Amino acid sequence: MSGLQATDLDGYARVAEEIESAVGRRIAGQPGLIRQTLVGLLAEGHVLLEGVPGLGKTELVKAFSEAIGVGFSRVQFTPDLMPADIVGTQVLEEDESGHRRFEYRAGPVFTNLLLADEINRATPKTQAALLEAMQERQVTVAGETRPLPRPFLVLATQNPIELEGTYPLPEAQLDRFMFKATVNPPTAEVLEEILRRTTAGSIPEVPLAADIETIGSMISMTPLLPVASHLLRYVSLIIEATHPEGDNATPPVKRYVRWGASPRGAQAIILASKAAAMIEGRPHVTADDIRWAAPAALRHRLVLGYEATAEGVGTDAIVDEVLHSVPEPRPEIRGAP
Amino acid sequence: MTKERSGFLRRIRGRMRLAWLVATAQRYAPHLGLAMALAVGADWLTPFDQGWALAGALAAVFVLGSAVRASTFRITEWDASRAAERGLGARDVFTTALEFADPDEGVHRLIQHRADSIAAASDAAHAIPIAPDRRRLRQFGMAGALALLIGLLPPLGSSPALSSDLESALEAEAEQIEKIAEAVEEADVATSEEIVAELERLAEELRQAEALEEALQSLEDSEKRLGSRIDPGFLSQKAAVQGLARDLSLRPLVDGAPLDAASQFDELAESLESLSEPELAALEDRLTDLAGSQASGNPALASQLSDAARSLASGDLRSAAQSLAEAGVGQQSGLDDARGQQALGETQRAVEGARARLSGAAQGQGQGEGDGQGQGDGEGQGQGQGQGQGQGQGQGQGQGQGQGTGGQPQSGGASGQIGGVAPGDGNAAGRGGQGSVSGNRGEDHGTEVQTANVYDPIDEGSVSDLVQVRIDGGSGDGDILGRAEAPTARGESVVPYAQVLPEYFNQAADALGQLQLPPSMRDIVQSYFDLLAAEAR
Repeated sequence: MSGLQATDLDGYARVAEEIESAVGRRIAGQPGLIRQTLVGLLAEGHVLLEGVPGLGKTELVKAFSEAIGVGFSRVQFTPDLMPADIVGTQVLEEDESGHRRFEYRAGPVFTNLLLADEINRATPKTQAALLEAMQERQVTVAGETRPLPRPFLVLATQNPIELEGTYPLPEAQLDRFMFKATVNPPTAEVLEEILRRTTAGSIPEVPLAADIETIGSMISMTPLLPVASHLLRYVSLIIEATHPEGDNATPPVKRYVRWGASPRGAQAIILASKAAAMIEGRPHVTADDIRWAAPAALRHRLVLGYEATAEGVGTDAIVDEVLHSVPEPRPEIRGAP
Repeated sequence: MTKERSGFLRRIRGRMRLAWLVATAQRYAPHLGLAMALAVGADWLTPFDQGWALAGALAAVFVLGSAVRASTFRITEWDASRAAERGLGARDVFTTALEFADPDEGVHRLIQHRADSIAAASDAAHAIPIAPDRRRLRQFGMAGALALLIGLLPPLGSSPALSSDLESALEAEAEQIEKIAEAVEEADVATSEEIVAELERLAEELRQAEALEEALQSLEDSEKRLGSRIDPGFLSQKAAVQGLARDLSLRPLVDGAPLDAASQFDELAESLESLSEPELAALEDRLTDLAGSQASGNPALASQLSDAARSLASGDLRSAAQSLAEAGVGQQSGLDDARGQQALGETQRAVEGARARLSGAAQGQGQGEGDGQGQGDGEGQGQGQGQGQGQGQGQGQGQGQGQGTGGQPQSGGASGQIGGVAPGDGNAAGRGGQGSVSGNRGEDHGTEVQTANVYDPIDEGSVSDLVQVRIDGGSGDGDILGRAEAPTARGESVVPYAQVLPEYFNQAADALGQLQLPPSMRDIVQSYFDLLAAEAR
């Protein structure tokens, strides 16, 4: 039971708008990326950012931490990075009385916003340590479990062009990210704005747009927003359509997709849709929310085959095809809209 | 759910039924149009006179069935809600509100409130628009136009519709045939029943004929059927029985009041005992002669009369009386048969005449569009030949030839002279030969070259009686294209040969019946007319 009022929803929508506005003062020309990051924050899903270096990914995380007044950490993943470098470790310390004891020293994961830069450069073992923390939202070191703070959002980046010496995330690990956001190079107009903001000797300040309690309330309220049954059905059909062996698979899916999206992908769509509804101050999810969330929630969950690589077909094209092929539920009555 | 939203969804349902009906009508309209065109087309290909009725029935069934279906199929609340939110762009609010309606849940209350607000401010007609499907309607229009076009065409293979004139002509002929049927029925001859049935059937067929060809075919068929019932030996039989009757009326077998032939035989059979020997001998001779006259035309009667004569010769009066009595019956039967056959023949000729009239009417009708201002040449040619043999030593022979031309269709002329020499006394019997006139109507559209053969009946003739030439097949009732002074005796236009043949038959039969010809010669005459009759048919 929730005592949510219309005024609460309006307030949440206003807060979300202020957060986006505040972040937007630092990050030019990326409203979609800002929205996806905010959705990930509210839905407690992690976001995988893919884009070449220098597109402002670190600035995005910084701006968010400043806008909502939470902690921020950045970890540059390298091949020699160890799991303990992420989750923390016990170190032997001697107190004033000369007694030695192991004391836990927390890793950078104990923060609200964690930027895992170039996550694919770390070894799988280190990657797994982070991904376990992402999933469990807690860390167990030396038999002691320590919960991570709330909110906890990991934004991991991947460099798609420098693949030498990298350890691409396996599909099972990728599945733990709610969204995969593609950071595209700025257009000339956006780049001009970026230059204007970043070369004048000072960078724009990001005002505090929300306190952590409000963010916590919004995060708590997000999963409570209802989703009508036909929309759950819609999402299920979308996921089914990504499976090449499924009855609803389109020819492109059958030809290019080797593995379709998992149930976790469906969950990601629903949760992201709820967060999107919350951001808009709407008490329920709509099909539009689902169509908006689906590409970011599915693009890293589809495993394409060799034909797709050979023909240059990407997951975005496949997801678009799926969304076009799966009709939104409607009355089976002729003449009805 | 508030009353407002409930009412709104009710209006949405009604609107959805209407939208379904319109969409269904539009979806299947091309199919319906095509089906209607097929129905009409089938009627056009193989007429069954129900094409439009079938097309109308299809349309009626479609409309009625669609209307019934539209008013009865089930529309759930979810269907109505979903249609409304899609039509209004209300983004799933009605269906979500339908599903999440717990008043204790703040989120649910928000959703309900949102749904109610939208319902209160919305119009069902706006939510469920009814848009015409122009493409399908255009297809339906094309199919309907096709059906209409096919429907306006005359049935495939049918003749053009009868003109009112031809229809009147057919009706007139049908009435005439019915009158003949009444007359035959009143005559009460042996063949009356079958003739009346035939004529009634023919009249009905003429009235129902949809084309002139059909009427002409009916007439021809009827003519053939009547002809097939005519006994080939009818003329000789008729000649025999009528000749016998005439002979007995002129020379009765019994004294007293005039009796017909059969009664005379009966009377004679009863009075044989009272006759003297000479009378019996004379009677024997007479019966023998009568038997001879009946040998070819009425062999049964001839046999009975011969039996009677032989019995008289042998003195067996009883047998003679019995044979005479049978002869009376045979004579009456022969007369009845002859009357029946006569009726058949006359009916056949009447039917033949009707066919000829209709054929002429058709030609006249077909040529009636000519402007009548054509100019043509008429040419007449006549040949006359006279030959006579007089008493004494005179012999004469005359021969003539005439020719004429005319520039106008109505005034073509031909003239000629018979030149002949007939020395000596005697009557030179000249016979007008055959003349022919041909006229070309020139630019008279639709008119064929008119030709008619003319001959002059036998007459003592000299020169140049006016010959009137009638051309069958001319426009309207037939044109007189030319007059020719033929080098013949008095001449007139001549009815077709086939039309005069029956009358000649009758005349010949009467002549044969007068017993002035030996039986062998009668057979020759009879064969001659039989041959002519066969050719005339």
